[in-house]
Amino acid sequence: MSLETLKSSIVEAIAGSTTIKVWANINYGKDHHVFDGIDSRNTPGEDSCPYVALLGYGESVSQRRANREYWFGWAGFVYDDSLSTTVYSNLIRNAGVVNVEALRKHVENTIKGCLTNEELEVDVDVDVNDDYPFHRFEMITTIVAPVTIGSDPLS
Amino acid sequence: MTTFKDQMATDMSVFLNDDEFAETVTYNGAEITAMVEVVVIDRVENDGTIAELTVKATDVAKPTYRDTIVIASGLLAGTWKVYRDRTRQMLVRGDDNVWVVPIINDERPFVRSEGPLI
Repeated sequence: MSLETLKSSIVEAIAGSTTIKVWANINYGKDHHVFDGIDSRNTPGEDSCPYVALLGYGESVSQRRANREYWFGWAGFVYDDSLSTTVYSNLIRNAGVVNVEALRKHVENTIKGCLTNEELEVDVDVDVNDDYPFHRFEMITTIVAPVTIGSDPLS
Repeated sequence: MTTFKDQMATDMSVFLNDDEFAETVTYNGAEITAMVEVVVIDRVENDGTIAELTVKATDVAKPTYRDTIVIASGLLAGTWKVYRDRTRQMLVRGDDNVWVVPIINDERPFVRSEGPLI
């Protein structure tokens, strides 16, 4: 599968995900957005939240290897300055911290759902402080796809 | 005898007059008269449009981070939040008569153009 084909199928799956739409409407009363690349000097703001942005992607292919690797760098944001104390009265949680990880997990599951016999590797960083009231996740997904015996991965 | 301090208080109604420099805004749901001045428009970090709101201390007892201000019309129309940024000295300041309050709207998150650093 070409890098562009895989990327398109993933971003379209995230945009069309009913699970994420339902989650976004329950938590923020509106649909999520997906950006296939963004202008880092004019990033989408509160009106676009919750949103997921594909920040970069690439692949590694070799005729000496039995698999090819694709990687995709993601960021996701919720805009949320509410607090919750739903578990213990002395545990004060920023709702956005909880919700941005929920969004990330939905994105991860959606990507997983796009794969058949490929393997998925996920590296995650959830940022709880820097951009308040924006809460951010960053995630790199690496997809390892087997190369069919006898085929040329560079063709 | 009228003191300078008394005169300053009296002058508030001249400066904070919506026929002159000021306008009517909604501060945490209450209509007040305030002056608004844009000071920073920045898209480098967690920023949007940053302005300063001057309000009478009698109208707003204690401006608090994330208080909500609604400006109904004009170039600065929109919903604003009380803001602070110590690195820029953007902090609430004031005296007996007025508060000068940094406010922000159209907030945007910072995104590294090179992508995630994990």
